[in-house]
Amino acid sequence: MTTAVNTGGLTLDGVGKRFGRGTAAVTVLDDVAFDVPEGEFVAVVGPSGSGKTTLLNTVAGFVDPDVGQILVNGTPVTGPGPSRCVVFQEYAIFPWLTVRRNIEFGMRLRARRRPAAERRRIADRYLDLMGLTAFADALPKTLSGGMRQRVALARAYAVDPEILLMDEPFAALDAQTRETMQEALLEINQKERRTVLFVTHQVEEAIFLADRVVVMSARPARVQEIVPVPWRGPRHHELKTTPEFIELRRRIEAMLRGGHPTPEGQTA
Amino acid sequence: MPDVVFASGRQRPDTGPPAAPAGAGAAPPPRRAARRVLHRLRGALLGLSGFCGLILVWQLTAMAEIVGNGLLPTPFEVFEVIWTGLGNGLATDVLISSRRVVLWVSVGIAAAVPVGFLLGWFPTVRAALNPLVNFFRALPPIALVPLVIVYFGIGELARGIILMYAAFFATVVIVFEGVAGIEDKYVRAAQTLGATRLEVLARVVLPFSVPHILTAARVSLGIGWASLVAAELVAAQDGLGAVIQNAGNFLDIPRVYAGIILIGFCALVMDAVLRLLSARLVTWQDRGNR
Ligand SMILES: Nc1ncnc2c1ncn2[C@@H]1O[C@H](COP(=O)(O)OP(=O)(O)O)[C@@H](O)[C@H]1O
Ligand SMILES: [Mg+2]
Repeated sequence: MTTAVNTGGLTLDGVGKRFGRGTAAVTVLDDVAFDVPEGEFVAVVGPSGSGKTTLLNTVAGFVDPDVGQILVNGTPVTGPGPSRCVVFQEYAIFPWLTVRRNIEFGMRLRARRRPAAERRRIADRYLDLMGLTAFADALPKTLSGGMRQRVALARAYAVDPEILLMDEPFAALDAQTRETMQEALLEINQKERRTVLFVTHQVEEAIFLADRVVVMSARPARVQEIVPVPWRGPRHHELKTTPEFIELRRRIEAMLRGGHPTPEGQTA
Repeated sequence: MPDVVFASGRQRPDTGPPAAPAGAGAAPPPRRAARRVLHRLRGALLGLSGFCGLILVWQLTAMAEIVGNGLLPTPFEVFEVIWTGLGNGLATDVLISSRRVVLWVSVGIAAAVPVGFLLGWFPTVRAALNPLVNFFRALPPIALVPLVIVYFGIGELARGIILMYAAFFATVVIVFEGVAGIEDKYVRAAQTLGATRLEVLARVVLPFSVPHILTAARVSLGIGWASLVAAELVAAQDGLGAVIQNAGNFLDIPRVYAGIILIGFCALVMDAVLRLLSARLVTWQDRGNR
C-alpha cells in the first residue's frame, strides 16, 4: 500500500565546488550532474573524503556551489528548507525534547505547521512505523544509536518533504543494527514512496537500498557511472548473498577502485 | 555531584526495537536507590569533614595564640555571637542581605541574558563587544563605590547597582559562550525541518542555553555575595556587610567573623538550592561519566 505524500524531482546541473584559494585550493566537486526523478531512491557511492557530504550539503542548501545549480521541481535551491529534509550521519535529534516532541518539531514551525490533532496523528504514525511507540516520552539520552536514527528518520518523514536527503545515516551503527535500519528504511519507503537521495561509502548498502546507484570518482568527485539496480518490490537481506547482487557489487567496487588511482595505486 | 548510578543510562548496543523503554521516567530499583542514598551521604559527610578540619585547626591555633596577637577568637566564641545575635537582630541582617543579593542579582541576570544571546548569536556583535565586556568584567565592584555614590547617591538603588553590575558581566560571558558553543548540527537540523532564523533562536538556541543560564545564575549569585560588602559600603545601615564594617570599627572581632561566616553560609545554601533546581529543570543533559 502506498500513501499519498509530497514528492518532487531533483536535478543537479554541473555542480562544482572548491574549498580554499590559491595553491591551497581543492576541488571537491567537479561538474556533478544527475537527476533524481520523482519517487525514486538514488544512492550516491564514493570513497570517504570524496565529497559526498559536500554534495549533499549543496542540495540541502547549507553550501553554495561555485558553479552549476540545483533544481527542486525546476526551482533553484537558494538555502535550507523543509522541501529537502536531511538525516545526518551524526545524531542530530534535539536532546532536550522527548522522542515525540522531536518528531513533531517540524510540524510546530511556521513553514509546515499543523493543528495539534493532526500533528499527534502524524507523530503516532511515524512512531509506529519506526517501532518507537514505547519510547514516545523518552529523552534521547536514554536511547541507543540505532533508536536515535529511527527518531531522526521519523522526524524527517513527518515534515512531508518533497525530497529526503540522507548522509550515511547508518555509518556510525554496528553491523547488526545497520541491517535492521536498512530494512526499516526499505519498509517505510515501500509504504510511502518518496524521492530519496542517499549518500554512502558502502557499495552494498547503496545497491540494497536504491533504484539507481550514482558511482562517484575519488576527489574531485565526478559522476563516473549511473548504474540501475534491477530488483523491484520488497527486498530482504538474503538478496545480498545472491550471485547477481555480488556481481553488481563487484562491478561497482571495481569502478570505485579504478576511478582515481592515487600514486600508491589505492583509492583514498 | 557526579551521578554515577544514573550515568548507566547511556548508549547501549541494540538489535531491533526493544519492547519497553529503558528506565524512562521509571523509579530506580530499590538496590540502586539505596546505593544512591549511600553515595549522597558519603558526599555530604566528606563535605562536612572539610569544615570540621578547619574548625579544629582554628580552635587549636586560637588556643595556642600563635597568630593574631590575641585577637583571634575561638570558633566557640564566634558561634556564640552568631547564636545570640540571630535572636537579637542579626537574623534581620541576614534576611536583608539575602533579599538584596537575590533581587539585584536577578535584575542583573535578566538584563544580561538577552545581551549574552546577542553576543553568542551574532559574530559581528561579539567581535565588537567582547573586549568591552571583558574589560568591565575585570573591574572589582568595590572600585566603583565612589562613582556609584556620586551618580546614584547613597540609597538602595546605589547598593543594588553594585550587585547588578557584578552579576551582569559574569552572566553575559557565561551565556554567550554557551550560545556560541551550540553544535552546528542542531541548527542545521532545525533549518532543514523548516525553521527560520528566529525559530532557530527560540526553539533550538534558547532550550540549549537553559543549562548555561542556570550555571550563570549560580556563578552570579556567588559573585553577588562576594560583592555584598562592597555594596553595603554605600552607607548601609543594615545587612551583613554593614554588620562586618560596624564591628570592625569597634574592633569587635568575633562579630566580624560571625558576619563573614553568615555570608559564606548563605552563599552555600543558595548555591545548593540552585543546583538542586537545575538538576530538576534540566533532566535532558547526558552528563556521562564525569
Ligand atoms: N568547509 C570546508 N573547507 C575546506 N575543506 C572542506 C570543507 N568541507 C569539506 N572539505 C574537504 O572536502 C573533502 C570532501 O569532504 P566530504 O564532503 O566531507 O567527504 P565525504 O562526505 O565523502 O567523506 C574533504 O577532503 C574535506 O577535507
Ligand atoms: Mg561525509
